[in-house]
Amino acid sequence: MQIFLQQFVNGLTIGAGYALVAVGFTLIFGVLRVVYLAHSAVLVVGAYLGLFALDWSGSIPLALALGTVGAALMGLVVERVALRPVAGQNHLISLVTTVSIATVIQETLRLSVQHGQPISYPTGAAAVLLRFHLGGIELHLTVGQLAVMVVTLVLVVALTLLVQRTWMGRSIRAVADNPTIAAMLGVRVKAVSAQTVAVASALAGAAGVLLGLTLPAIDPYVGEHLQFKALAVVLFGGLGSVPGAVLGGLLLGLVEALAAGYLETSYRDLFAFAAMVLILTFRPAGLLGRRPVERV
Amino acid sequence: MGTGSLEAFATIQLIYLIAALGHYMPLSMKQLDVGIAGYFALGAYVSALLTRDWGVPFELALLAGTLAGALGAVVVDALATRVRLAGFAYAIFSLSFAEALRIILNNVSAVGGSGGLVGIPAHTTLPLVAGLALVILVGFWLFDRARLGQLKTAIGDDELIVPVMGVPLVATKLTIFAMGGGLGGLAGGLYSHYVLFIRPDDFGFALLISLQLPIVFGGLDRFYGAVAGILILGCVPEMVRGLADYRLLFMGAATLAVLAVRPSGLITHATVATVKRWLGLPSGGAPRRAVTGVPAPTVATAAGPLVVDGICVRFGGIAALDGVGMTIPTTPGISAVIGPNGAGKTTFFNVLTGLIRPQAGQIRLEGRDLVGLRPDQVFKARIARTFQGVRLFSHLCVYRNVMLAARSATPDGALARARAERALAAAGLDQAAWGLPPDRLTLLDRRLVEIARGLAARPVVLLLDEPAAGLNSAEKERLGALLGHLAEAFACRIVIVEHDMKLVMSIAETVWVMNFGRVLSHGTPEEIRNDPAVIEAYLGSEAAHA
Repeated sequence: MQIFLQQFVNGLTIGAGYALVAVGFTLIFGVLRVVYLAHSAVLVVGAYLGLFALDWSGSIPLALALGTVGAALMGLVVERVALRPVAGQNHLISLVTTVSIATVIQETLRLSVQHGQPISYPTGAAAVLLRFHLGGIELHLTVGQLAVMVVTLVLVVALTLLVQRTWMGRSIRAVADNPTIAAMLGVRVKAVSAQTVAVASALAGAAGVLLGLTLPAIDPYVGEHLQFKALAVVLFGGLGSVPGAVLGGLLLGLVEALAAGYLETSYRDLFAFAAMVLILTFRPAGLLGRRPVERV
Repeated sequence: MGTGSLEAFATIQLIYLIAALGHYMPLSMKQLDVGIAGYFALGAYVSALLTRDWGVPFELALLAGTLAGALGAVVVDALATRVRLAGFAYAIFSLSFAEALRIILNNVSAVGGSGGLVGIPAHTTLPLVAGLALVILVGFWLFDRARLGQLKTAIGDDELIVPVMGVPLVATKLTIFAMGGGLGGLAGGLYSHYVLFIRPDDFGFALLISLQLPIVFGGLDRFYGAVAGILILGCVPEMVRGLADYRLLFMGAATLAVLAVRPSGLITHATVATVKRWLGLPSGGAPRRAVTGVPAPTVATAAGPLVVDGICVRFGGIAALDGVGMTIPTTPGISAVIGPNGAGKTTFFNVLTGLIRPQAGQIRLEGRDLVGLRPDQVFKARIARTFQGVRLFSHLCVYRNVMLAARSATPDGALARARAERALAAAGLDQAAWGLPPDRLTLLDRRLVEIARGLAARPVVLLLDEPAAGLNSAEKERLGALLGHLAEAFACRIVIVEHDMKLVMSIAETVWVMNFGRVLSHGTPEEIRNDPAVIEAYLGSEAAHA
C-alpha cells in the first residue's frame, strides 16, 4: 500500500508533465491542423529561461513566469517563421519547417550555452522533501513535484476557462471547428492561429521549468523524448481533444510509475507507444476523440 | 582534409544518400511515413549481428538487413493503413515506431543494450558504396519510367481514384513502402560495417533530420532533388572549414529559408519543365513515333446485361439508395441516369465501381456478383468510370494517364499501348497534346482524356459522371456526337449521369429517373418526358396536376 500510494503520487507528477505538453500539442493540432514538431524546442527555451531566472533571483515563481512568457514569445516566432509562410501546404512541409526551426533553436542553445553540456537547476527550495501522513502511511514529495502538480492543475483550469469562457477561446473553438466558416464570420484566423501557438507554447514553457525543477539536469535536447511521448498521448487521447490529452497524460504517468514500482523494468518508456497502437486499433479516434482522425 | 578523412566523408554521405532515397519513396507518394531512422537501424543491427556473431558472409547479411528494413516498413505501414491513419496521425505513428525501436534496442542486452554493438567486421568500402549508389540512381531513373513509378506519382496526385483504375492500392503502396524501407535497411547495413560501432542513440531523431531536411530542401518532385539536397545540405558544412559543428544549424536554417520561398523545394516539376524547354528536349512520357496501324478493337461484349437488384446504402439514418434495381444492357449504346440533386446518382456509381459497399443488394455481370469486390476487381470485371469534375493525375502526362488504366486491363504492354493510342485518337485528342500535363488542356479536352482513359481499359460498361458539366453548347454538341460514335467503335455501353436534359434526350436510348434513392421511372426518352411521376419529381406536384 505504501509503495502503491507513493508510486501513485509520483505517477501523478510525471503524468501532469505529460499532460501539460500534450495539451499544448493537441491545441495546435486541433486549431492549425499541421504536424507541429517544434514543441520540444520551445519547452527547452522555457527550461533555460527558468534556469537563468533561478540562478539570478532564486525565486521559483519568477522562473516559472519568465519561462512561460519567454516560451510564448518563442511560439509566436515559430508560428511566424515556420508555419505562416507554408500555410495551406501539405502536412509534410509543416513537419519539415517545424523540425527545421526546432533544430535551429536547439542547436543555437547548444552552441551558445556551455557547449550544450547538461546543466542542473540550482538545488534549493525545489529539492526540499515534504512528508505527508495519510492514515498511518507516510508519503514523500519534493517541493518540485508539488509545484508540478499545482502549476499543472492551475494552468489546465486556466486554459479550460480561456477556451470555454472568453471571446478568444470562442474564436479558437470556431477555427478548430471550421476555419473557412470562421473566417467568413469575421474571425481573424491567422491571429487566432498565432494566439493558439502562443498559449500552447506558454504551457510548454511552464513544463520546461517544471522539468528543470524535477530532473537532475537539462540540456538542449531534453524535451525530445518527452515530445515523442506527448505525441503518442495526443494520438491515443484523441487528436484535438484537450480533456483527452489531460486524461491520456495522467494515465500514462500513472502506468509508468506503477510499473516502475512493481516490475522493476526499464521498458516503461515503451508504454506510451504500446498504448497508442492498442487504443488506435480499437478506437481509431482515440479515447476522447470526437470526429474521425482525418478525412481522406 | 586528408585523403583518409575525405574517403570517410564521401562514404558516409553516399550512405546517407541511399537512405535519403529510401525516405524519398513514401514522401514522394505523399505518404507521411517518417520511420526511416527505424528502418536504417533495423538494417544496421540485423546485418551487423549476422556478420559478427553468426559468421554470415557480408553480402548475405547486407541482403538480410535490406529485407529487415523493408519488413519494418511493411509492418508499420500495413498497421497504419489498417487503422486508417491519415496525415499527421500517420506521421506520429511512424515516428513512434522508430522511437519505440530505439528504446527496445537500448534495453535488450543481447544486442548490446545502450552500450551498442562493438567489433563489427569492416566490409564497407567507398567503391562498394559508390557502385551501389550509382546502381540505385540508375534504378530510380528507370523506376520513374516504369509502371510502378507512375503508380507512385498517381497515388501522390489522387490516391482515392487509383483503385478505380484497376490498381490494387494497398498492395501497390506496401510495395513502394517496402522499397523505401529496404533502401533504408541497406544503408543501415553499409553504415554499421563502415563505422564498426553502433549504438541505439545513433538512430534517433537527429538521423531523421539529417535525411529528411535535405530531400525536402532539394524537392520531392524528382529523385534528383534528393541528390541535390544531400549534396548541398550534407556536404557543404563538412567541406567548409570550421562549419562542421554548425552542420545541423545550417541544415535547419537553409531548409527554413528555402521552404519559405519555394514550398516544393529547390527542384520542382516546373523547374524540370523549364530546363527541358531550354535544352529543347521533349517533355517525355508520350510515344515519339506517329501512331500507325493501331488494330481495331476485338469486339467482345459481355454475355448478358449488368443486373442491379435491391441496392441499399445508408449513411447513418439517411437512406442514400433504397432498393435500387436496374437492368443495364451491355450492347453498344448510351443510357442515362437522371434525377434531381441528391437523388443518389453518384452514390449509385460509387456502388457500381466498388467504392461504396452497399448494405444490401446484388450487382450481377456474367453470372458473377460484383458486390463486395474491391474497386480494382470491379475494374477487372470491365466496368470503368469517370468522375464529377475531372480527375486526372496532374503529374502524369495525358498519354500516361490513359496508359495507367490500359495497362491494368492487360498484362500485354504492346496491346496496352495500342489500346491507349487508339482510345486517345478516337476521342479526338491531337497527338501533340499526348505529352502534355492535363492542366494544360481545355476542360473539354480533359474530359475527353478521362473518357479515353476509361475506354482504353476496354470496358463493357463505361460510367460517365456529368460529362457535360461546365461545357458550352457547341462543346456539348460535339461531346454528344462523339459519345454515340465511341459506344459503337468500342462496343461498350456508356451510362451517363447528366443534368443537361437536351443532351440526355438526344443521345440516350434508355433513361432511368432516380429520386430519394429509388428508381422512379425507366423508359425511352419519349416515355420519360411524358411520365407524370417524373414531372412531379422535377417540378413539384402542382405542375404535374396542372
